[in-house]
Amino acid sequence: MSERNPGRPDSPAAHLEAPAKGRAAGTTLAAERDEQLAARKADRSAERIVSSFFLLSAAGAIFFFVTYWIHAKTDLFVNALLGTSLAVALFGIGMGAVLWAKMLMPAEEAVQERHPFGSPPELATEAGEAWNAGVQGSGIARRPLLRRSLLLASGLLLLPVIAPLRSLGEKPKGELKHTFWSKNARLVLPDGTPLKLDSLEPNGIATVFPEGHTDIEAAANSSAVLIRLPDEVVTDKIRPKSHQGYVVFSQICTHAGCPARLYSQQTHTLLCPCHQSQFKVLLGAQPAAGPATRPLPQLAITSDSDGYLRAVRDFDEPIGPGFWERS
Amino acid sequence: MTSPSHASSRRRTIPFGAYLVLALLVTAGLWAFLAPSGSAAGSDNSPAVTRGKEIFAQGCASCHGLQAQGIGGRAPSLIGVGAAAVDFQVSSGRMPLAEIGVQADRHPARYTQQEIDDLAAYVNSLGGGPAAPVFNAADVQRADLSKGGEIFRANCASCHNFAGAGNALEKGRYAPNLGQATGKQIFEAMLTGPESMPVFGNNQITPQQKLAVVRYVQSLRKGADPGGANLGHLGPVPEGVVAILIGIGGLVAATLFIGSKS
Repeated sequence: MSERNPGRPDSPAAHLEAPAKGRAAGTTLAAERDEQLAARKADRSAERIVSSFFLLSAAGAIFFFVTYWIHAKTDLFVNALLGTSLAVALFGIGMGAVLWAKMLMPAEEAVQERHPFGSPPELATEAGEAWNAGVQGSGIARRPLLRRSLLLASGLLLLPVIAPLRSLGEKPKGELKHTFWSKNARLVLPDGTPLKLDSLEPNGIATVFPEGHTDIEAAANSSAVLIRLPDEVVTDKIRPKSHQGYVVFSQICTHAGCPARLYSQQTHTLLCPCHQSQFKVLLGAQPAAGPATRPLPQLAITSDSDGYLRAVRDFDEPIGPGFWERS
Repeated sequence: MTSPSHASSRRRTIPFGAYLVLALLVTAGLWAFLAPSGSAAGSDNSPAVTRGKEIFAQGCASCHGLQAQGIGGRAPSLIGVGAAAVDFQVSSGRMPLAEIGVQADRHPARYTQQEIDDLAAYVNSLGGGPAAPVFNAADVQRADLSKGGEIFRANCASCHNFAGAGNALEKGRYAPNLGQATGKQIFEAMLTGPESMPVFGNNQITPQQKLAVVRYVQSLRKGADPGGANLGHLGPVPEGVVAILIGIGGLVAATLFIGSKS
């Protein structure tokens, strides 16, 4: 292979051009010839290696073209062939270029010095003098009218900068604190079907929205999970807002806002898939593990005379991850 | 309330044995009134129930109790769980339990379908629950595939993953991969809510919609995966691992190779 003495511009190619230049006096002619021969041989083999990569690339390109041409319809296998041949074509050119540089080009280390950052002192003095002359010439110290009107103009220039802030939209009103849940809103499935007292079996769950607000984009903050607990497990903690075993919790995780909707019915645990927060439903969706620190807010519900489940009022606290105004 | 002295004087006069007899009588009387009506039906002796009872005594009673009443801390009562739950648990090899753990894993079924039907008939005779669904492949093929997908994504995907590949729950529990579940088992799982799974009753997801879900889950298995290796359909985590280890690792290796001195 190539000679391994980086830092000197003597690649095998250099040997070929100037065989006997600058040799040490003690070297015999025969030894020198041997060295030249070996260098030439290494050079040839390096050339062959590099060109074989280029030829490999050419083969890959041809293979791609032919494969594409003969397979009118692509399937998984043809896709793999096309991808592999294109990869070989690109890899061959890249690898050849890299090896060309590594094996055949002169390897030299060049150091480029940085120039100092500061200006030369005479230039700095000159600039200072020019500045002072300008200040003197403008007479800004002597002409208060000019000075003050300029200050006013540049100060007011801030107004056009500030004014467009209005275009950022309306100030948030109560959206962060309120959802679409309201007094008497019926609980409906995402497809709008209202839910009745017999809609779920014990240990059943469903995602619910307030009636009329089922658009997952617009009403995302109102998505909640309805769980029907067996009557005997309902605890005092969740009973006041529950109704005949039905409980509703916001399904927006209080950590990062993912839908905490994985429900393990044996342990009555809601899980969030994003960061594995766990909420114990029977303890009022108290977080039991994971990064969430705040319980999922519970929605107070009841039913009407037709058996439809209805909300009593909106959530009593902001849903989702805490925000800055919340103490 | 009787005063303590009054009670102690009575205790002296009435022998302990009499109390015992009285207590037994009261218990027996209460039992006759309050016992689940299904327990009386347990004496139903159609041939299937008789055979099922025999299989139950051999294979199930050591944990669930001779009357399927459950043993505290060991196994739940099976009174009222219904035939669908039995068919699901036994046909998917989860029961009889292979080993004690947080969750029963899927295994090859230990009983023939005939034996499972007998067992189901016996457990059903103890007190009704959801019956095993009856449908065939043609019924599934007639179901609405896109509606099934909608229901699956709304109700099932949060635990079973968008491709039915399953997902971890808490404390070692998991929602299983749906790749091996039969249509009947998928239907029964929705109906009965085995283990950690919530129940999706027929009022919430109608039988016709359940068939649609079955069709959708089965269609997931034929995924074409045009992008190549699906990495278990597990989503961004394994894909990220491949991108970081193989993708970025390869780039770093290539950079080192190009930059190194020859």
